[in-house]
Amino acid sequence: MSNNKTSSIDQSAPRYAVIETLVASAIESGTLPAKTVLMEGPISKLCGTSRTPVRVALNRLCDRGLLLRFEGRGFVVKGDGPGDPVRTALTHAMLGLSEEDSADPAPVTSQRIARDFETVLVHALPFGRFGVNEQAMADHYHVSRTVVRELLSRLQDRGLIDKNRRSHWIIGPLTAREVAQYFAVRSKLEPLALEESAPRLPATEIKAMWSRLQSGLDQGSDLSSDKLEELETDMHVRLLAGSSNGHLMRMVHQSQLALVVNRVFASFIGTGPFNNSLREHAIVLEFIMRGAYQMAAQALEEHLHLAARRTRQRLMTLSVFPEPEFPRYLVKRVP
Amino acid sequence: MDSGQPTDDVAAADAELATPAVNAGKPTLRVLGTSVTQIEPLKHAAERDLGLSLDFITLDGTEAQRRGAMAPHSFDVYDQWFHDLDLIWPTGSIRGIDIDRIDRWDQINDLPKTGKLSPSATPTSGGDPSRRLYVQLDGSLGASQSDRISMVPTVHNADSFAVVGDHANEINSWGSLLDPEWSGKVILQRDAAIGCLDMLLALQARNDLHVADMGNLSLEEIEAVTDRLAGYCSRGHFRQIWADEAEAIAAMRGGANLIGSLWWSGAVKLRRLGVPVTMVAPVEGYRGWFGGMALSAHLKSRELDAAYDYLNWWLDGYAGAVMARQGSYMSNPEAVREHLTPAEWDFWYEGKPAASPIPDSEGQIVYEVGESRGGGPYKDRIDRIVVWDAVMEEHNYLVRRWEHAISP
Repeated sequence: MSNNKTSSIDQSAPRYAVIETLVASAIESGTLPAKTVLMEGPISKLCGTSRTPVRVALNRLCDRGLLLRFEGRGFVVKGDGPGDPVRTALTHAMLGLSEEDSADPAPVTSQRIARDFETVLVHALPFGRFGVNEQAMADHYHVSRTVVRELLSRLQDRGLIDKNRRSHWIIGPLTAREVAQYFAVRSKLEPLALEESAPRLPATEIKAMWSRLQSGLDQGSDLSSDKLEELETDMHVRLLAGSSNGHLMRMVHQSQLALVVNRVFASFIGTGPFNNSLREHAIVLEFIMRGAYQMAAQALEEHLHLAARRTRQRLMTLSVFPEPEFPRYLVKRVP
Repeated sequence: MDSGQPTDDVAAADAELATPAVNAGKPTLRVLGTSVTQIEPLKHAAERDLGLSLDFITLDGTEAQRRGAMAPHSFDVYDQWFHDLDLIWPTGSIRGIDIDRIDRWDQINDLPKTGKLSPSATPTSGGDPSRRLYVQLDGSLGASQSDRISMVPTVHNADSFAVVGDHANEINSWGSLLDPEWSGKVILQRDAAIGCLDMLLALQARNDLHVADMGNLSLEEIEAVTDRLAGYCSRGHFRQIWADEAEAIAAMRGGANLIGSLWWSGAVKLRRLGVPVTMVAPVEGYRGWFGGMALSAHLKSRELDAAYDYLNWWLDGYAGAVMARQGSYMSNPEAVREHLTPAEWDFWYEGKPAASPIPDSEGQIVYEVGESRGGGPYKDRIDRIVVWDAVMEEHNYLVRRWEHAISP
């Protein structure tokens, strides 16, 4: 980041992290002099992002001691010696950006917005009821309200989000009742898909799933949550993907929403408590490797019954977890 | 409840017991709990008797639960309640306890093992300790006997609410908590797993709301109770909603005539301060709670042994006597009896009028000759528990509605 070649938006890193590094480097190299006043707005314009990541980045730099808070409205670059804070118009050069970087910020594709938004939404579900502010969301993703509305409507069709009587977009809260309902659907649909899909999958793929699972079990509670997610995908997505029934697959996908409880739980607690679940995965795969597909389907159904109970219990535990910070476009509502 | 913890791992950790301890010196045990059991006289006595140092981490119920669920490495012993095992056990932060290593296990009475003292008592709803006592084959908790338990059952009580002032004799129903005549003088506890039951008992007594199962509300019932709670809050019915006992005591000292949620330990502390407080024996029955001690999942070798020593010490009778002097019962009352005077036993466990002045755990007189605690003997009071403190299936929803309802 110390040279000027880096694009303003790095698609792989979180935006706040990119901006944090950018500003830190600019302070270090002296292009952003001590006492310079920094506000969210100008930086977000120069970087071609919304204000939220800028705010996060500035707060983190403040925590790191590189910036000081200034009159409650912004920050000032830390520096020794006397002298008042300097208000100056920020330029690309001061942030170590080239003109073309910011003039045409890397486009954020609608697909990426959809994916990002869905992740945010789903993770908020267990923490209560939220309203979605269309304008704030449009600002956040730097798109028009039309794009946002279209996306929200698509999610409404899928039952992820709802409109209340006053036509406000509302999500959550995810309840134990809903978890039970989602799992009831899954426990019937997934075995159906498995019976058709598993015989069609190449042996090499089944073998790969088996060895991933074994290595996951060997790691015990050291298993990373990404690896856990991978094993869940093996059992509940890849193993079923050989089915030719498109309608069924769409319904299977939509019924997996309640899995978020487990993701949130694992993100706070780690993967240790998922050991039982993975051992049940092994039972399903054992039957598949023996060509006993009906038994595998039954084992999957039983696994989903047990998982439903575990998931409802984890939802109870979520009540004591601290609420994560969500983007500004999600507004807490009466639960 | 399902910790997902494979039984083999625990066995492997136990195998390390065979390794001789290489660290000399006094071990320190960090005990995570609430103000009910974490009191100085007990700390000193246990340190003296066991030759270890105790670090009491005293938090309110909700904070202790958060830490219990999320940070097993920050404590060695979890001293809390059976009902909140529903939140803690699934995280795998506590480990099973070998019954073989609990010396007085056979002395522990039937209440935590079967959910009732008298075979004829009607089953209660909510967080019945017996239904989360034994570790099952799949690592979850249940009522089927096994060789490992989740918690050593210890302190418990049949709780109600308190009245400060002259009107104590006129009050015998939970309904008084929501009586408009008391508006502005009512105190409620904040922990939804307990306070919600106080509300429900009161609403039910007033015929304002009836639910199918008080210990496990449906979403609609949660909405009904929290809507009513919000209504009472907005009308200024509650003088204060407390999170821990210190707040409860401060609230109960705030006026000549007050009524509200209070734990027995708090009532005894108030009496020591000269506040004329009475715990009501409601006609509708009591809200029960059952405490216990659990072991952190990370414990091994020397610290594990020390933790078992501490658990066993709690059943030796002395701690139970200290708990009796603040109104609570112990799971093995006979051991406690040896550490109480006959007058104290008759007063606290038999519910008889005091034959001599009754002291608290620090020797201050809290009941005079002729006074009684109310509600009768231990067995009668326990048999009249109608609901145990509970973490419901929809607890996550309840907590969010509840907190919203009481927020100003």
